[in-house]
Amino acid sequence: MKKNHFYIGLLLAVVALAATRPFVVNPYGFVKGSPGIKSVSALSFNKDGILFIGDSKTASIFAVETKDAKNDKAVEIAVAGIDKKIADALGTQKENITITDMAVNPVSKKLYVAVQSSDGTAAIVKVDNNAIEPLSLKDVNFSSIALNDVVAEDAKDGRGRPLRVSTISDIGFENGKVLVSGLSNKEFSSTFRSIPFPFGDKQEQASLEMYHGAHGRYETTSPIRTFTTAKINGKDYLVASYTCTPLVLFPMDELKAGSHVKGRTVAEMGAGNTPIDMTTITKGGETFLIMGNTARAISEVNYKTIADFEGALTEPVKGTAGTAFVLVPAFTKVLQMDKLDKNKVVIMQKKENGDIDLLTSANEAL
Amino acid sequence: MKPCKENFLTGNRPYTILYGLLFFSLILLVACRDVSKNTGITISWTADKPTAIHIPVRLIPEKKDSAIFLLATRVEGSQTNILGNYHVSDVVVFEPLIPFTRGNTYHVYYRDSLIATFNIPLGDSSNVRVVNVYPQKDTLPINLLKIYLQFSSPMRESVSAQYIQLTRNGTDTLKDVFLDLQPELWNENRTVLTVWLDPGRIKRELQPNQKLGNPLQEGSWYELLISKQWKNASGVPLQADFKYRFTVGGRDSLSPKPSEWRILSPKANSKAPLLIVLNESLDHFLLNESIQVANKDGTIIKGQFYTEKNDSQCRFIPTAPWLAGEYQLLIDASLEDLAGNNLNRPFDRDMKKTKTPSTERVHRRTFRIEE
Repeated sequence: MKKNHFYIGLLLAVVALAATRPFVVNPYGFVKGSPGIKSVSALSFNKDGILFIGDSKTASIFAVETKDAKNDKAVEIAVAGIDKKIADALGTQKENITITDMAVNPVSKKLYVAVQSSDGTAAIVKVDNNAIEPLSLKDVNFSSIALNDVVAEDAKDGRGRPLRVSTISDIGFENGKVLVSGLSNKEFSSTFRSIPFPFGDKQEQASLEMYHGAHGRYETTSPIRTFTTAKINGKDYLVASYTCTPLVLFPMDELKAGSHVKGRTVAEMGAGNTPIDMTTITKGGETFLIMGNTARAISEVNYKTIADFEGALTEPVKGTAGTAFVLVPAFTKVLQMDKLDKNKVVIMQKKENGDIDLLTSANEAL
Repeated sequence: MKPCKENFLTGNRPYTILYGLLFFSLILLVACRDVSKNTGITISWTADKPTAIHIPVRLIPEKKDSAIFLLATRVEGSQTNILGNYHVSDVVVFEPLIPFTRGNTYHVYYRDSLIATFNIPLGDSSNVRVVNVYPQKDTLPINLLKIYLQFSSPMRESVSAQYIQLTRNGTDTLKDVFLDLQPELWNENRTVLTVWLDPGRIKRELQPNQKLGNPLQEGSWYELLISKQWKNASGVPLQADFKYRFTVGGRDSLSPKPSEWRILSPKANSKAPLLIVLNESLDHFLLNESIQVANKDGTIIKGQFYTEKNDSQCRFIPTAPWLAGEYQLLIDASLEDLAGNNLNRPFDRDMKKTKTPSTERVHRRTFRIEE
């Protein structure tokens, strides 16, 4: 009997101890402080509302807790002259700022916009129809990871080789991993990293090549400018737009550390035009890739078409035109895009007079 | 946004904060300049950027704790309050989210009444110039991939397309020659910008190449113009236009071959330079960091590298005198020529004609130092 009392007592003690602590203690390994972010080249969220910031100057990815309140109903965003409004709020003129990326927090449906000032400083603001608020990066919960510099690790002469990644061109989050594409200011090479989150020591870097030209005659490496991910025929793919060719597919499960993967060009968008932002949307039960272009209207490809076009992945592409796509004429000169929720996309568009507007479109209208 | 809440006008603050802020303001005052029109507003500078202003308490009409919430700073002509933080010590400190812009005039309001105006001065206007453009040769390959622009001071970002122009044979200004990249490819202190000629137009059989053709044409001469309208990060324009003229020769589709480099080795017991003749101009910045000298065991020899003859030759001077014996050059495979061909693979490999690329990360050449 005494023994039973002892066990009951022990159990109560454990319960009491557990009750004094939160159930989840810092699941992401965050610390509180100022992350010391020097530039913001790219933004992305995971589904829990953790903001990932690609900082080219420190060659790091930061994960920041936003503490945004949950909000299931997205308010359609429409702000004319967003560049001027942001410039005013930053005490400068629109000529002095560049909007480098934007992303919607899927938890709060708030739009985050990254801004680079021409004097070299960066800021992130939250934008809605009525106000522009700063994202404070002081005393926040965060973690970070430096991008491995494989080449520099080999340098043993202490000459302090500069980091090979000079600019992070895009980041994304998929299946518990932060995906990062980078550009070097020296080499014409392709770096693509996949980094498990919460951050640990591990990050994988794959070397990506593609076939291009008729009959897959030429193979080449080149930096990725923007990317998204998609499921095609039940398989996950990286859909990448390169600096030289618009649309290349890579199977995600082949992008492993040290692997050398050949993708294939599935579409070209014509001369003098490149996609500058991409996202995947669903409408009418089908998934579509939509792309904002430098010199064209938004173009849209049904992933089913890509799947039908596919053939074996290792087979060279026949012809350079590739997959058929549809243009959405209302949306020319789209600079940025992101899903506002599962039915709507928020779009940043440059108007004919040079102004930059924010607007929202239903998936069905795209 | 709300300013931080402190009772600055009643002096009812924790001493730690008070002393901290006094210390902070003392440090800042050292770097402050009174630039307002007799209002006493001073600007504090961090790394040559105007990162805060100090507003004397006497400018604030009401002496109450909530006064700080009624302050606003706006750029001249704007109705929007600038985002930032107001702190309090013996002055009110306003730190905008990004530094103030050089050349701008700002107004400080209290309850929408103007209480002060200040200007941010332009930076030092001396000697803002283009230091160099790479490559520096008179004749460049038709598939030239990149040009580096080196400036004397950090420049304004994201605006390069407005100030860089390429003309052909002295008449045509070329469109869509350079790749429009945002963010731009700057080095860390923003003094070197990498500009790419559109790779989609250089790669064979891509649509841009087929429809628009190669950006450069063999036999033509070109002039790269960097406009003096381009301002540096402090708002000061370049002193003068910069022009660089070159003619265009044939296509370079071959990887650099270290096995064909000529190595001229000095005698032992001297610090005479080792000369490496590369047979062609290579990428200036990659060349400076891609070659190392090691002894037979692989231990790196310390010394200084110099590139010369338009980056077609380099010179290595060891810190300690050479010893007789076998040495090796370690050459990073990522070293590229002017057309983006690296040691392992050409920029654009024709699978029908060229062999499978090497995957070696480091290429080696051995040489001897004789007695």
